[in-house]
Amino acid sequence: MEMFRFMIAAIFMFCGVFCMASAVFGMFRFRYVLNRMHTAATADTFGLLLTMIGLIIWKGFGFEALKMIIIVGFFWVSGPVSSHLIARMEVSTNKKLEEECEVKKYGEL
Amino acid sequence: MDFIRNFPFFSIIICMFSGIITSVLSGKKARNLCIGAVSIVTILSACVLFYTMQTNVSFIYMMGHFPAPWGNEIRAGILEGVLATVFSLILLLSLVSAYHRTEEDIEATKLNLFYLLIDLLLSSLLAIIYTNDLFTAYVFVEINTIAACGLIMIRQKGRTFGAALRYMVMSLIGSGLFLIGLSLLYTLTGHLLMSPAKEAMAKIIATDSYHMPVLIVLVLMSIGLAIKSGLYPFHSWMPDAYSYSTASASAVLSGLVSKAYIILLIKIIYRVVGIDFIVTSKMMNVLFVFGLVGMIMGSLNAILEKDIRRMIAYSSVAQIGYIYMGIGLGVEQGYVAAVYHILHHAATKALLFISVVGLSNVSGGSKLFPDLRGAGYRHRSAGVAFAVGSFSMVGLPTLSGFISKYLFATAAMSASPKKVFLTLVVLAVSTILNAIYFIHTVVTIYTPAEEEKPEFERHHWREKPWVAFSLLLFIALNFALGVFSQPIVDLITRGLQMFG
Amino acid sequence: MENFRLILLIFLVLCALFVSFSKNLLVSVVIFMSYSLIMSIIWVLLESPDLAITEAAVGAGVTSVLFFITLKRIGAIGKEHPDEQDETTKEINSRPAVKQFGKFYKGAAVTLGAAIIFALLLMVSNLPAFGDADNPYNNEVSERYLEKSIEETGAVNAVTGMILDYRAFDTFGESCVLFIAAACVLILLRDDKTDTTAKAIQDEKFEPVSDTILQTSAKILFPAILMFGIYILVNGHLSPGGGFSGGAIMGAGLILHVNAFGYKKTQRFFNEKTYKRVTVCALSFYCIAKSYSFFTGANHLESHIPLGNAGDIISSGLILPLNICVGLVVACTMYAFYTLFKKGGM
Repeated sequence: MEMFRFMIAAIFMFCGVFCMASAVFGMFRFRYVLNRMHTAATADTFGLLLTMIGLIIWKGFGFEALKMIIIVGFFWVSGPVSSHLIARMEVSTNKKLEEECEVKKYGEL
Repeated sequence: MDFIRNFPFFSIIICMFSGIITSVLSGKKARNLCIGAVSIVTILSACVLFYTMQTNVSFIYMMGHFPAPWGNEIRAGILEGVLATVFSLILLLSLVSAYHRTEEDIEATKLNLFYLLIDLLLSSLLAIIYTNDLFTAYVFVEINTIAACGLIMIRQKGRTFGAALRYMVMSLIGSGLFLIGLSLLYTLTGHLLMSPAKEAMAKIIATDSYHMPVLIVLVLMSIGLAIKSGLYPFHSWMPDAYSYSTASASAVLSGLVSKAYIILLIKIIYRVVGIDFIVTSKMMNVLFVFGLVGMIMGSLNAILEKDIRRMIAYSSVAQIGYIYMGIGLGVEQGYVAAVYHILHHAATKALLFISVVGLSNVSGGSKLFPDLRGAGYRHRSAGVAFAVGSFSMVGLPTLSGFISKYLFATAAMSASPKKVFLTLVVLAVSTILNAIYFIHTVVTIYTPAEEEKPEFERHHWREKPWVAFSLLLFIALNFALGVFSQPIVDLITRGLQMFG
Repeated sequence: MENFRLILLIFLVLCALFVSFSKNLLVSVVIFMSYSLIMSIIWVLLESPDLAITEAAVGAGVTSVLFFITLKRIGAIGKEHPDEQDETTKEINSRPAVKQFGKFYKGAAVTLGAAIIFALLLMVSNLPAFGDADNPYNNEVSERYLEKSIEETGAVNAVTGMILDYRAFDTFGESCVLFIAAACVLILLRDDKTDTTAKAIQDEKFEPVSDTILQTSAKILFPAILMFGIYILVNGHLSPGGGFSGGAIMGAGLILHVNAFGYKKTQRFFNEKTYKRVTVCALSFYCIAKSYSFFTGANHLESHIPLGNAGDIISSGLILPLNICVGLVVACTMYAFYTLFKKGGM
């Protein structure tokens, strides 16, 4: 049973680490701000969630687990918002936005 | 316990409290509160001085409920009493004698911040003088540094921002070195209070177990404090900082702030490391050489200077050199001479900076020599004050400068033969250089101007009686230090013996 | 664990080198932020969580924000060629004497730095070994701090007992450092001549003042951050944390609020008057309370302040109110720094 729990935790943590690693790879691979921001945001939300679930399964559902859940909650609120702000800044300041990506006006959506 | 033993603590806390209150007051009220607080502190310090003189003991004051190696402590003896009294008196006089300039130079909405800085500056000076704890000393060195920066840049005119930035960078390097030295000293001794640290240090020195680390700790601390006090190669911030800030600020900065660090250095030498180790380790020779170079180079720079306030600032570089030379001699009399010189320079430099502002005020605000011709006639009290200060700097008998030079010369006699020769030669040369630029300046301000320019105005002492009165007190202080030199030197000697 | 610590230390040195050699100021600031974060991990490893919290909140959080605003105000962000010099600087730099001096200066600086590094390393190798039980600093001083702090000060967290009771005078000095630093920033940046509100509006043109997403999340996060700060503050004598760290977190919360909702909304409950009142009251209380305890202590009088039951929230005598005072001063100062850097007024 103990072994089984550890395996599941390891799988979760491995997935989380893979998520973060690919995010870091993407950060360097992509050239444009919005693309890079997209990969970074994935690490912040999904990677963190998977790692924390792994840790919770491994350590058991105690007071520490509650703290980790709060950390995940905090990141899920703050991470996407900061990405959104960066994106908004880019859209409102970049004059050559059309050259980088397809822009649709509100009405076309 | 006598109630009077509370006074050192009271004087520190009064300054801090009035500083805190000042931040919500208007400019005028802030000024009155500040001057009141400083006067009370002066009286309290004088009481401490008389008490220690009469009982002839130094006492330790526990800050809180826990004794020596656990809690903070302050300590007061004769030397602390002398320094605290003279420092707070000079601060009071320089505040009163240039308050009208302060109000002109500083925006009305920021005037209370000036007095806030002065209050906290005085509290940090007192804490550095009285403290018996190395880390307390560091904390108050920080306050002192930030307050000095603020005092430089509060007059937002000329090159004050650049000067403040330079001062800050140099000062922070000094603080950093001092802090590294302090934490290493703690690693070696396990104590932050001076008395137990000295016991631990004596053991280390006796067994010679950590010779190299102790030496490096000493080097770090003394170089750090030397940078902060503006010893010769680290003096680049001085001229701008002293010549563009407002009059009271430059008097306080040159007279008191840079001296506090030297006092801390003397304290560490006497109360932590022990003077015997300093003499045998020969590391003070570095300070000695830098001091000698500073004495010559500062005076040469002052001769070349065309701006009267920058000239006085460069003269400060030379005077700091004198003090470090005294410390570097490595004999008891050298330290006595250094402390006496600290008092002399504090009194005289403050007087010079204040009187120069009066002189340049009546010459259309110019600080250049050609415009200052005849300024001594137009503003008689400032002219007389400047002349007295200059003569004291040059070392005319009955004035304090003469005594300090005499003390340095006699101290050198008991040092090693090489140092005797070097000291005497450099002392003679620097006196001549001092004489060249100060006598020249005095002659200039008493040469009648060739033509009456429209911006020239006459100033009568009755217009601002307070200013004239405090200038008079400054002059009297200078004469007192000179005439009653023997009792003062005795006090310093006794105080330093209590230190050990 | 030893290897992990080694990796962190190497990383620290690398960060320091990058900060000083990077040509772009923005990059420098970001790397400096990661420097602070690594530093705070090292503090945790060295078992000083109090320092770790403070380092993370002040070093990585608030300081970086201040750096960013400064860079924005001097126009160093978003310039095409930040290294571009104007004509006079170019002319001065091309003079042969200046060039020569530059070379000499670089050489001298490198030699001096190398000499200092060498001397310090040599000395470190001669110091007592790290973590040894026989070290000079494992003496009666730290022993009493660790063993008797609950009994004598009532604080379960020995660090708080030490800084707010055994060595309270130093801590009072430190809070005065913060106060005087705030006064200096006021001198330097408060602009009484021009109207700051107009400037602020101009400044906020590109900023997300009325962003719904930000405001909604700020509505959730602001109370949470404030609560966390208060928790750290009032538990200072029980668990790691205390005035400085809790105050810094509360200050960060206030900065978030002003960013999300704009100055007008924040000024409803926090303006210059509040700032002044809170700081003056907190510092005055600190000053008077500590004067009382210094005075009674030095004169060997009973202090009459009950220590309470160790471990309770309301216990350990003066430590809790003093922690709250320090926290208020720190929070107000952080916020004041932010607004002063941003628009030159509060």
